[in-house]
Amino acid sequence: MKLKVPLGITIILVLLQVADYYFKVPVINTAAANLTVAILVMSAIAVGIGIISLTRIHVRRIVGKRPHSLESAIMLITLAIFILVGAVLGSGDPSYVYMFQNIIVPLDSAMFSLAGFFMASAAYRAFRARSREALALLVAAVIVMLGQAPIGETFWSGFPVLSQWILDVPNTGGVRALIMGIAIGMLSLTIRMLMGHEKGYLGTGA
Amino acid sequence: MATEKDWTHKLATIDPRVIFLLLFICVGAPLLMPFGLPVGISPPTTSTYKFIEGLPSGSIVVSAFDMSAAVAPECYPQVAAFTTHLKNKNHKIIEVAFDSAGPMFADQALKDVFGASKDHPLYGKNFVNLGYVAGGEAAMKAFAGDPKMIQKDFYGKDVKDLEIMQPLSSARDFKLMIVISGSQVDNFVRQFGDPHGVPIVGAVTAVLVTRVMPYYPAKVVGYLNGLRGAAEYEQLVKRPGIALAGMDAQSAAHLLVIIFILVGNVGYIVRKRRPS
Amino acid sequence: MLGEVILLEFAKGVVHSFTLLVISSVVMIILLYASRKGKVPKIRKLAAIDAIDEAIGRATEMGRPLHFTPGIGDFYGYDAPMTIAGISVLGHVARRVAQYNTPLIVTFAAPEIEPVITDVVKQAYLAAGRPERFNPDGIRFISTRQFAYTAGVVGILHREKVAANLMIGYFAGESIIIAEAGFLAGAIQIGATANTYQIPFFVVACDHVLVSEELYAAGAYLSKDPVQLAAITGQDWVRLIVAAFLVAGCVLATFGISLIADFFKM
Repeated sequence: MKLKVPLGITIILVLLQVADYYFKVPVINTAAANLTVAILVMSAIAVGIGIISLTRIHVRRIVGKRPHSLESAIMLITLAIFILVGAVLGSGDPSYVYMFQNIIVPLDSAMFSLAGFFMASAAYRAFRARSREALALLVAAVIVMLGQAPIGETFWSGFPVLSQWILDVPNTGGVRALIMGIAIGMLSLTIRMLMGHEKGYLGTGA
Repeated sequence: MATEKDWTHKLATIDPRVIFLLLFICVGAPLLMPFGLPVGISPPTTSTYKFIEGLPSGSIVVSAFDMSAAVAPECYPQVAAFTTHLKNKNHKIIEVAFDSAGPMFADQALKDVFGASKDHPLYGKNFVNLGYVAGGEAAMKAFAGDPKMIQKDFYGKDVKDLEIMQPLSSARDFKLMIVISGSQVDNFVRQFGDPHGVPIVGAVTAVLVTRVMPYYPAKVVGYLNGLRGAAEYEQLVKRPGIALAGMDAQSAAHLLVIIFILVGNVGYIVRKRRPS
Repeated sequence: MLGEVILLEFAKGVVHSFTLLVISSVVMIILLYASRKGKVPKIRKLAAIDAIDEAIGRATEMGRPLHFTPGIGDFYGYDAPMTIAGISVLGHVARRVAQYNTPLIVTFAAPEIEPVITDVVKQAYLAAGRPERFNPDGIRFISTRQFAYTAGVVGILHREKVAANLMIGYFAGESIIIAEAGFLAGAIQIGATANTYQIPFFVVACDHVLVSEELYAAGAYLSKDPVQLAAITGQDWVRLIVAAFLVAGCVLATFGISLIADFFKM
């Protein structure tokens, strides 16, 4: 029973969404549209679950006087301020926008900028001519890097053309194949789920 | 014979912190002292420009913000550039966000290009910011089926009172959708491109471009490739901005990475060829 | 109403997709049923999965934690299958670390997967006969914000000096940051995602990588369940069918016959 009910719900909902995509049958299309709205409501509720979960973890840390409880307190105070300002004044209010532009944007951008630094050190370490294939990869990477930056055109006008060819032909061909393989893999996983062989999303107690 | 302190070993094992420091200098210095390298226009950017140019005046164009704050330095210059183009061509702009950070950038774009957002006299007639629709791809599907499912815009105004939304019955009424994203464009192709035939342009980060290319030009009619794409578009619309200013920094950074790769290979190859 | 259902009018432009879906599903289901009758297919070795035991062994010897993350995915949308595949592997990993008493840290970014992850890990410890070793403080929800989650994970990798870092699930821009941070912390790393444009970052920064659909095969490979292995074989057969369509379409189009090209427009 613990498996059959959620599995039954999964089967019905998956088949409904698939049928909605492929067929123009008003009763199915209406049911799927209503289901989609229900999903929107559930995903909004999930945000609330996240807030509760986060608060629970950090309050436990503060109450238990565990390491980094000061950071937890700062996080909870910031969370409360954002929620209060957003709920009372609205997220379109200049105060909320000011906080967003001056706290969230710089913090998020700073973290993402680490990707650039880490990519440079990873590229230095990884792009070694250990074999013919690695050498080909290295040459392609250098050509694309020079083609994507204006300085490459300054050295030779052919770099952007060659770079675009590498991206358009071998790269796109490979990515298309990967996308098709991934889609087939997702279909396989879905069929396993519908047949009850993949129970990971139900928890192993099912 | 190669030893631990051999120069080849040092070349092959440079401390990452040295790379980080030099990269910081290479990115920072050109921003302070630009050298003004010319920027060519790539075919996908030209395709995007020509498509928008070719739309009849007053066409409904949707800017779909699926971007977080992290990708703003790369994607926002694209937004400013193409929104300027849309304004110049008198197209009607519907801004909608599928990421919670999106509406803020949509609002900023309206202020930068039109001078004001909700207080502008043309707000609701020529452009609108519908705000964030939670739910990911499910939200996209719902919006594509009925754009008026959103009851209030980002500023709390009733959507049914907005003139720009009146003629819309489904995504088929969109003449173009510009997807601003740092994560994926496939879901927009699935929910807007395939079922409703909406032409899509990708204004995406450079990392995501390889994921957009398989759909170009059949389902994605053009794309802007990260900051470089933004710089190219700024040139096309004659609105030089931060993207063009950043091209010198990008050039210096790419050159530095190439130099480090070559240096590392010199050390590696010489070590490998020495008799042990 | 019943009449409307029976008529089944197709939506525009999806006939080819529906046909391929039916063919693919039939092939996979046939192989799944065949496996129940004892025909167990063999699949090639996946070096990255075999390396999981090596990673666990390393963490155990060094007395340092093993970190596992299924990434920033959740249970709805495009990333759901990757998250589910990651959690399948987590179950196996948790059983092994329970046997060796290796400290386990699991981090994730979607709060709705917390109950499932907690249940999977707890059940794994129970199955290994070591329920007392389960530590709920090791299951850590970081943040729904992508880079807040990244900052949290990077901090954990450095502060807790993890010996092994397993990133199996859905990853986006944070992949290179977490992978490189793991490298700098000295951890052995296994990366797996089906998010195509992040795979190169794992390839350069990780010791072992599962590429695209190998992630979906991982759960089957570890479980050695004949039915799941049959599903993997089914994937390969479907891939062959799709490749046959592509090659045939290209050859025919070269000679001006647009039969297959027209089919894909239906």
